Amino acid sequence: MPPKLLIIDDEEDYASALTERLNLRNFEAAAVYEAKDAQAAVEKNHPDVILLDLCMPGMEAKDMIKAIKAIDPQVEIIIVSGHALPSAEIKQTAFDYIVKPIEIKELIGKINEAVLKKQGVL
Amino acid sequence: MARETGIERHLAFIGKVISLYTHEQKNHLAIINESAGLLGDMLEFSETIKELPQAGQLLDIIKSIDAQIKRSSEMAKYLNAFGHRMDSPLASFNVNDCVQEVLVLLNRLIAQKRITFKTDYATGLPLITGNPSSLQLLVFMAIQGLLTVARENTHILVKTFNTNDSAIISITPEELDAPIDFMENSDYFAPVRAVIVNGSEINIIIA
Repeated sequence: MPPKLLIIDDEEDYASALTERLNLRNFEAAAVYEAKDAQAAVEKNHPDVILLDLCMPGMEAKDMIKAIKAIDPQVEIIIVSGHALPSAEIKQTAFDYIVKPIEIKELIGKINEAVLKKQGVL
Repeated sequence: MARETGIERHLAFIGKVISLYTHEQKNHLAIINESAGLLGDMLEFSETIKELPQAGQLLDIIKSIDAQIKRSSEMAKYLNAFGHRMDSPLASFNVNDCVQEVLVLLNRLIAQKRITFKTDYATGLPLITGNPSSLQLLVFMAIQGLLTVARENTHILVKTFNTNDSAIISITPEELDAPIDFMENSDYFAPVRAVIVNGSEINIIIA
């Protein structure tokens, strides 16, 4: 089974292009573009790894992380954001933090590490 | 810790604008990066892709790149003008242009609360002589203050108009969750003559 990924990002063009790129690399990726849809998508799809934008309209990232972890404590979250200086609290609660724009190879490396951590290998 | 002096507040304002702008710029670059990357992938993975992309799909990706470059260039134009407002502490300027620069650069900040700007700029406003950057700081402070009390999913109306000898910037949130608590009458903001809070409206009066 390919690892399941969920991209949560309000920049639709970015999220849909990244979704396609990850699917071409044998992941099973999906995207939601609004914070209000994120929790339902986690509940429905139970992704292995979430790529979460830090600054989405109407959403505090730390609240979103808390809500996601309440639904699925096992899911690993990688923050992908244009914000270069996140709070220490955010950095601590997420598996990793990448600043946009990203290198696809670097991102895949982080996703694979997150999947291994979720499987208890790391 | 409260920021006391005008210069400290001005530096904080410039810092805020830089962080908002660069964040937005990184988002634009990220879209270009992923769109160009996807085009490259379509070539690289062409032998394994089940359905080869149609011309329309390729065109959409190219249009997306084009749109981001335009978006980015537009924001850079406003940031450039914002920076040049500090070239001289005394300049003749158009109030509408001055306000518009601040609003564009603060869009990301208000979007976090799902708030949008609506504008209604008067034509034929007289040119003002003074420090345009200080005026921009004051507009920023008024909007920042309003953001703490303005209701989510509403708009803030920013209007300009003139009376006999003054230009006025009126900032009115559509709906409030609490009363406006904003007062600023420092000499630092010359050519602003007064800031008047009238119910749910902040009026910045410029001589």
